[in-house]
Amino acid sequence: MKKDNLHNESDVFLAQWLEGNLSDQELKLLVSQEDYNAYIKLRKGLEVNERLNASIDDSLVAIQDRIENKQSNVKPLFRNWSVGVAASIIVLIGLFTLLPNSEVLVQTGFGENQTITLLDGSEVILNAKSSLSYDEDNWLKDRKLQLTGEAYFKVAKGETFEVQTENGSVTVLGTQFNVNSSKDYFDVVCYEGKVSVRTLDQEFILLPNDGVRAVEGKTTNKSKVKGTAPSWIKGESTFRSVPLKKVIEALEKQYNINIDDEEISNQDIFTGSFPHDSLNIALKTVFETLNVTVIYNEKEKRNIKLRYKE
Amino acid sequence: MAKDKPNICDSKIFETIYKTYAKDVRRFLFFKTQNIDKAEDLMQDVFIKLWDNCSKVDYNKVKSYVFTIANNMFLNEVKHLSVVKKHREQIKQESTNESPEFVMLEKEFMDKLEKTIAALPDKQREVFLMNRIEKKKYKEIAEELDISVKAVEKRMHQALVIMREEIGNI
Repeated sequence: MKKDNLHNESDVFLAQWLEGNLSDQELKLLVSQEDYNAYIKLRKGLEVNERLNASIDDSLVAIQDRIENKQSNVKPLFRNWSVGVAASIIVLIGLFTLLPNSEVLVQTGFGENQTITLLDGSEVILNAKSSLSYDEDNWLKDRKLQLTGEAYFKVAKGETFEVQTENGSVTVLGTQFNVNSSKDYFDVVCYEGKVSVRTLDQEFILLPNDGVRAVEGKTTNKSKVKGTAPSWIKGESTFRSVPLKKVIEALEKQYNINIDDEEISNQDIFTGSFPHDSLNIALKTVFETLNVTVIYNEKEKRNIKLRYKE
Repeated sequence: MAKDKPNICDSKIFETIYKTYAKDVRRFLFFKTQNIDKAEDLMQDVFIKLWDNCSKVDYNKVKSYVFTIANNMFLNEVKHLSVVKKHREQIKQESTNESPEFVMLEKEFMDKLEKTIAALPDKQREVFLMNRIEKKKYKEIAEELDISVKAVEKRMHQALVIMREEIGNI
């Protein structure tokens, strides 16, 4: 009786079972035990067969990622230790001969802020993944420092105070201001006093709550900014009409993560802020409104991929 | 040392080797482990190991190298699993309940399965592949082929009956 079922031309129950519309228990009632076992095995065989034939491209990407992460951690720079020793000696000699001994370098890591008090009483708060260097011996005569990244300055009154970056320089007397300089991006906001900014192509005088910005070497006009100090000092990063890719860079620096933004358009602009103490909330606040999906592996939250929602 | 021998440390050459052997290695590991997820993980490990040793491996022997590594990884896995199993028995966990319907899929079975799919009658194979490979619902297939959903289901049912008969009880 049961065997006959299989040869009935109009039967469809196996099709429904394979699609999940008929349970295994229900199938058991329709066919012999032997057939049932065979179909269970057949279904598993089909699933495995499909996975065995599935594309291997995704796995290659996973392998490349793993190799890359490993290399940065494990692979020694010099395979031969004697080369390493020789290199250190050369570096040491170089340091003593080329740099003046009084050169001070301050660097911050991912998600780290540091407050530095300079000899004249001026204060610098250095944001995450930024660095600052200056000549300690000549500081009182020549208040000049080099910055990469972002910092907030409270300058004590005195001689000219100059912040040099690869995107331009900022000169002041006594004041409070914020400088953010990274690759292709330069942003200065004055909070108190008077600041003179020289970008690669123009010169500006900023009064309190004035800001000026240059993206990829092109300077935009002055704009007004709210607040009495930048929000990152209080554990928040705020952006006004900033290219989304710059916001992504800031997220990477703050949380020490890798964000794959290949699919993100250069045209996207973000206005708003993200907190420094919760990655989840930060990702949500930035990307939810922009219709961007954030993809990451629960185990490996360090690598994040962005994709536009359909 | 032959100068014209391809260098495995060159990422393009590495990729070519990967594309040539990755599927076979994954297949090989599946038949050993009987676990497709494990097979995928170990396959990745094999190629990472190849990359780590790229300067030491002879290009002409790369095939036997990857399969040897795959086999060693499998053996390590077995060792690891037996340790885990022992540990589990010690703490008296019911490890046998994990897969109540464990079904062994032998190489012969899988080979036969592939042959049988390829040999299905055209109408049944068309529907079968659209459903299983292109992951289309019966309704979508029906619309695309301009036949009723019932007709799609019939063909699918027939395909399974044929496969079950062809494969028999191995």
